[in-house]
Amino acid sequence: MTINRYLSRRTMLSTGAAALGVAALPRLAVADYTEQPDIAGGVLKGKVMLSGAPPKPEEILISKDHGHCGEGAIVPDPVRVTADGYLADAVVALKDISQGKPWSDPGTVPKIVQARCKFEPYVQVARKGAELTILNEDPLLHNIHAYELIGRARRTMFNIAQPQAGQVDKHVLKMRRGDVIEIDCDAHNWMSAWIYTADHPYVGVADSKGEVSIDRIPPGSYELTAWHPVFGETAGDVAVKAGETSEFSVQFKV
Amino acid sequence: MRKIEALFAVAAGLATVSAVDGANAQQPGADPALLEHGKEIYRRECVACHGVEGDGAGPGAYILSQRPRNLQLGVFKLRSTPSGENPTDQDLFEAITRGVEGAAGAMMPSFASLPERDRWALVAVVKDFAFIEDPGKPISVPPRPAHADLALGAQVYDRLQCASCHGADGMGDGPSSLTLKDDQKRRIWATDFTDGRYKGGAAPDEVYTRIFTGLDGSPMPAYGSKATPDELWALTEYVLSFGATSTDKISGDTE
Repeated sequence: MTINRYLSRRTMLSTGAAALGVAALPRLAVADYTEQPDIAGGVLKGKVMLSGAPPKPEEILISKDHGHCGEGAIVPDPVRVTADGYLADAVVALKDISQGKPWSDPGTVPKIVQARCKFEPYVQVARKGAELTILNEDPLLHNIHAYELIGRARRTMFNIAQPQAGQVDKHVLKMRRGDVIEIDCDAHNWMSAWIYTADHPYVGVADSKGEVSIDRIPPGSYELTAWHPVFGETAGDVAVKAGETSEFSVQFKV
Repeated sequence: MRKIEALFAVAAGLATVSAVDGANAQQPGADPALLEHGKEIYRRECVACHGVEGDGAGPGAYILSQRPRNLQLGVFKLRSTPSGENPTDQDLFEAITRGVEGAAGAMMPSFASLPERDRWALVAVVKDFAFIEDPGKPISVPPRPAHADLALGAQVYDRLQCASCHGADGMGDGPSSLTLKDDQKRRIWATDFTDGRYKGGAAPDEVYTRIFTGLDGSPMPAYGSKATPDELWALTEYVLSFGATSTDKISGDTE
């Protein structure tokens, strides 16, 4: 049931554009989300797994600023998987959910820090349209270069220089059609981070044990997607019952 | 070329159909006749590089040192607006008029020879491809100081670490220049200032604007909030001084 959404979106983009011209390409539909402060709902508790041997990681040599960035090589997009196959850093999200718990729950205010020539965190989630806070802790030039992924294209969202430590910028995460933001630093090409944006707060990042939990979900049946920076997206179905914890597992296949 | 033109005709035909059912009715103030006129000009002048669909994948795209813009993405290097904002109509008009040249070779030719109405018609086509409904708000460029403070400019060049990509001598050979990629992950070079050629032109106001807003789609970030206007002007003069072979160039009388 692995779905390569990027491929299907690309196919839609290219055939759509060829057949209909640009006028037919859909604009971002701003999804309405209604907050229900009192909702108790049910809980989804899941495990993300990787089957098959992880691919050989791509390494990039640290080529400059060794005093702050260190020596040797770095894997920009690490596959963090436990010995028994549990995969970290995957984003699990429910699809097509238009009402439920408030977004104000902790952990949904996006912030990214550049420290020792790495982005922290590597993967996070954010509300579409939220304001991202960007902080440089290193006494050297970083540029935070954010791209919206649309099909196979990368669309620059912004590119801001932070040449000194302590500098803070803020930028609204205005998405056109995509969900995923890739963040690079052109000055240090091994730096990589990802932000998964959603219309609703039923979204979470798998921890180092591959575990993810989403609470206060309105009862019902949902499609659930899981996305990972290296493995793309997969999907499945889940059911949520009021006052209960339902378990699920997601498997990425190599 | 016959096949391309036929494809374009199909695309244009169906676009008209969807305009009828309202899908294209979001551009207030857009002049449909101008857009249709622009599509004719586009088919004649632009498809070879930017492609029938405006995706930057025309048959001639591969020979260019930097690939043509994928207009559908709506990301433009030459803007008077902050990073991430849409360009103004004037920005697009000027880029079409001036073309894009640079240290890596001439990329987009100047279309100044086209009648002005044709160039505005092309602006309408680009905005249509790029879904630009809300042009950005231009930054304000303060008047160029009478005196070029090159000593301050050198300090700012150092503080903002321009040399990281453009090199201490402005030759585009800084340590990070080796690893630069554009938004489509293709190799791109930091501009060598000693050529005195800049993608947005060598007019001082333009160079100031490029430093302020960055060149979206390239690795060049926006520095507008990281220095005062006086410092940015000094930096602009310092950058221009790398390419100056005469006092005329320093005073900006090159256009």
